[in-house]
Amino acid sequence: MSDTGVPSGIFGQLSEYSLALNRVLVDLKSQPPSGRFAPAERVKDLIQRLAEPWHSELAIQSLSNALQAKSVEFDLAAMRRLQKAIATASTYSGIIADLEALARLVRSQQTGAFSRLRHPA
Amino acid sequence: MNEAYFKGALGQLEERILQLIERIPANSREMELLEQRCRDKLSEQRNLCVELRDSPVYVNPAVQAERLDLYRDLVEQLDVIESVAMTVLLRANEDDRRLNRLVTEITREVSFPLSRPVVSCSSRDYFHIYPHLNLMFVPPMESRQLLHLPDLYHELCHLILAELHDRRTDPFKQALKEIKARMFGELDTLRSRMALNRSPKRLTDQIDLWQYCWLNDWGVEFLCDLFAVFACGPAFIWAHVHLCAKRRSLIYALPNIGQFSHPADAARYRVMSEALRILGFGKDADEIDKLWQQLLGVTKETPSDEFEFCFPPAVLKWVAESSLAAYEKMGCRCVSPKSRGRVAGILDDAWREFWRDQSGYPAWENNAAKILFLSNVA
Repeated sequence: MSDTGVPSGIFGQLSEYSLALNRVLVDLKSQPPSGRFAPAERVKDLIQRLAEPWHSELAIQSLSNALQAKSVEFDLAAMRRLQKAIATASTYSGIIADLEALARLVRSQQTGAFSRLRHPA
Repeated sequence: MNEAYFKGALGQLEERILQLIERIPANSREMELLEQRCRDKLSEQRNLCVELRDSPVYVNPAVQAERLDLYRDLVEQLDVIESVAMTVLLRANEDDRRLNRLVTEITREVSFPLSRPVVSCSSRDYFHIYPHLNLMFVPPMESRQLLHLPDLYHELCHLILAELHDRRTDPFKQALKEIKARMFGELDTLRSRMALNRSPKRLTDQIDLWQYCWLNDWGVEFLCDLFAVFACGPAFIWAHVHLCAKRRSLIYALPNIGQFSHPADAARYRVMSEALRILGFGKDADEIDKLWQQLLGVTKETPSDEFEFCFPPAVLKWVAESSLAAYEKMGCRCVSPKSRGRVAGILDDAWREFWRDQSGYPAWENNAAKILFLSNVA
């Protein structure tokens, strides 16, 4: 009944999302623009679940808190643009900037979870 | 970051991974799950490390931020594997092995939907679990005593709520969503009421914090408690009251400053007690309640005026009721006054014996622990 259960769960889940997001960004930046957007399932999951009102997934809850607090540059408008990109399977001009902002959000929560994991209250 | 730095740093990291893989001991079948998990994770990490170092894709100046981020991810994950999981494997002993056999038996007894975690008796901080490593920690002497072993069941449930891919865990995760939605709504209503009454800002700020706690940790912790009551029965609540008596913590604590990872002990007790009565253990619940009331009488703790706003009794009762259906939907087995598994039975007997004969209890416990650990299956 110590304090590692939740942060370890968050850390493990965010690590999966972080890896998937970074890979999508590397692909987008490395390949010639095709206009097509077909990210890995993990990234689709992340963006779609983040839009739901209630979250059972610990990592998504942690990201949602940061979004609600409006303390991050990734905002609801960026999330809607990314949702549309997934739905239409097509990119838009600011997609890299939006994904980078989402990656920074994931990273900040991952850092928080890692810190809680290493130094439980 | 220049290319030479990444070449050197990633090469050195790969060497560290390879050395760790070489140090994974071949312990025993009780620790095999953790050995394999470490091996799999380290192999994945090595592959990513080599990719980051050698793939021409990562030479592109445009992707250096992602490359650095992935490198940092690797280092963080390796830190946890090395300092937590590898330490367990390198120090595994007979106490670990027998507790692992016990947890195997518990997961079978409960029809636990996931792989059992590996357990180490090397905790410096009570019972805790790392779901992302499937690794649980128990203080060294708890593996030889019985009264707190019911806490193993609480920790098991953290695996269910951290699981991303196994649909068998969905009913409990759905229950978590419903708890959050209900409590968020309750607190929103309270905030509106307070705004109408022109309550001080301090109170409305508190509501924000309570919502944060309910959404993040508290829903999870309540469900872990309930899982333990459904799977283990009265012994888990006896263990909770015992812990509250032994440790200096405020039973009615509210999160005034900073975040509280666990809800107040009094709220947890109330939810557990409701669940026990639902299972048909009303007589046991009454007995436990006597000790609880005595504890409150001695500590003279009373709830603040806001306590029931933060933990509304009707919601706590509903949490207990609605979670039982979710527990059963996962296919997990419930204890009842007429049916209990071997392990839950011995843990229950331990508490009955503790109350029947206090001076004879240590000798009884030594003997019961031998029976509990010697008989359990591998």
